[in-house]
Amino acid sequence: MNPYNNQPTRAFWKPAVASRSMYEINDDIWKPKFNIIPSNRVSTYGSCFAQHIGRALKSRGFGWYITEPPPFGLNPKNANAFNYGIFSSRTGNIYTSSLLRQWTEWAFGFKTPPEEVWEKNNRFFDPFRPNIEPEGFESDTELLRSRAHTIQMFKKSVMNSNYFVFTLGLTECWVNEEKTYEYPICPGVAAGDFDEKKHKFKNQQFQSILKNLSEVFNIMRKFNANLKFILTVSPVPLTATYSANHVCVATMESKSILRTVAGQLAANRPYVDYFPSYEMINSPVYKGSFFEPNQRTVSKFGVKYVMDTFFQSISNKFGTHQKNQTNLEDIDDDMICEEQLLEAFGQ
Amino acid sequence: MNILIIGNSHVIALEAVLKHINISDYANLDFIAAAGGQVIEHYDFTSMTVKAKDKNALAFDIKNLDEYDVIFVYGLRLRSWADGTKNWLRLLTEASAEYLSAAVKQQMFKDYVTDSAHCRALQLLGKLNLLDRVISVPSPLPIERESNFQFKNNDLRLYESSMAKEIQKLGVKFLNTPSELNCDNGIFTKRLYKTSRDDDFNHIDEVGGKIVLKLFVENAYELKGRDLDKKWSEL
Repeated sequence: MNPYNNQPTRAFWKPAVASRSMYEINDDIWKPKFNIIPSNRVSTYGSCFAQHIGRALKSRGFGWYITEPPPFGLNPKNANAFNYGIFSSRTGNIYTSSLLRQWTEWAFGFKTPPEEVWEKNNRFFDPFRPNIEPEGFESDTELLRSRAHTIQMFKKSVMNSNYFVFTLGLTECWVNEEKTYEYPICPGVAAGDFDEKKHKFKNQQFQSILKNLSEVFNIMRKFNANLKFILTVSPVPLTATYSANHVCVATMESKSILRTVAGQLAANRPYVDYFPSYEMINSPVYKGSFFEPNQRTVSKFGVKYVMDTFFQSISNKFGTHQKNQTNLEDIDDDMICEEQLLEAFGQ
Repeated sequence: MNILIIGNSHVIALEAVLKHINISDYANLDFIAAAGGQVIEHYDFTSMTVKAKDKNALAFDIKNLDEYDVIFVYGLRLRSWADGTKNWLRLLTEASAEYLSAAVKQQMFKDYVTDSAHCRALQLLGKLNLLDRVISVPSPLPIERESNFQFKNNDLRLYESSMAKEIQKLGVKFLNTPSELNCDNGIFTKRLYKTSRDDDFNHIDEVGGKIVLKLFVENAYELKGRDLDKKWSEL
């Protein structure tokens, strides 16, 4: 007799993986901590891949909590172009834990949002949401007013949600060293001018990511004591790296660090769970079959597999009735992803 | 001159005028109408037949569409004051929010117009190659009342110009409702022309209807390059 004798089947590689079709591995891949029910409010933020989570919640009749909905009249296609209904509020992609901390500190008054704006061809772009308006804003005043509203709506989503789903995307980031704030994309890529004296590259390490997320949880739960978190790691590789590493090595390093932080937080905090979307796409078990030919874009089948697993796992554990599977038609393959702009610079 | 008016409840005020004034020397008017924007569901524009009739639908002896010299598309939710959520008032109210960019606002107005039953009717007529004989007219502005509405004059003007622009883009003549009906501020229809129904601040009465109808006939003649005689102005 030894301790492994009492371990369930899912703990052993042969019955849990090797003897199964890869499409059956997800049957018990995740044991969720929380029973999310349709009446719960779920806010979603994060990197590009996080956009699928909100849509999947909505298509299954769950309470995707949108605090900044598209204004009446705007049709769905244009609402998407103006970044409505992408995340719970119009923050754009929040790729890093430090960016999430930045939004949180602005929302709850711990820091004042910067007044920096980027100008290009007489249009104004928000350095913290560079693609939020396809053609930019008509003035800096209009831009700052819009951002201030989004900050309030971000706060509202935190205050009134039951669950906060956050997808960690990157460790690499660009900061304004002078002003000590972070941009979601390097200045000069989407708009703005790169200034090597002010704009510095940072590749965040385990401790700083852990600290940022811990601080985010502390602030959010100070204002919403019952808020629970579900962390995921985006399976989408880096478009480009500014580290000295090959992009493949840089991707593995980034994702491994993010995965470790997420795992540690979920293991040590009862109000944090980790959903293994990263493993379901990236594990060698799946042989890269959920990627498009560019080996970066996750296919609709991959997204469906991940999202079906999310809901099925909740149903399996808690026995709650879940609506049908995710429809492939509900998966938007036209995600909004500023980071992808970097692709244009690779020859 | 054979004229068809495709519309909704706003045609009632026009149809009522014909009971008292004979314009048969100038025009033969037919109507097809249903509540709200439902006329495009009640009438099959391809087979030129009425698909369904109910108590809210008006459809008289309609000729084939190509037998009409001029076709007016009137109302059909380009402006809609009715209660409910999907209306023009809500559009203008939401557009007045300070935090919306001008670009979002313009797109809201554009989408509202192009997704309206009015535009869909125009598109159906376009498929039948009839747009050269079509005149597009929004319903009258809402009747003036004391309640304050949470929208700004500038937003209304932006909407009005977007409405005209989007209709004209379809290659259709756009005709706004007669300014004679409007208050000085251009936001409302004068109380003078309010229908007698107490709570109805959406529809004009027969007096207003006559002003609109005259404008329709005059513009139909203008579109066809014909002149009206002196007796017309005495009607």
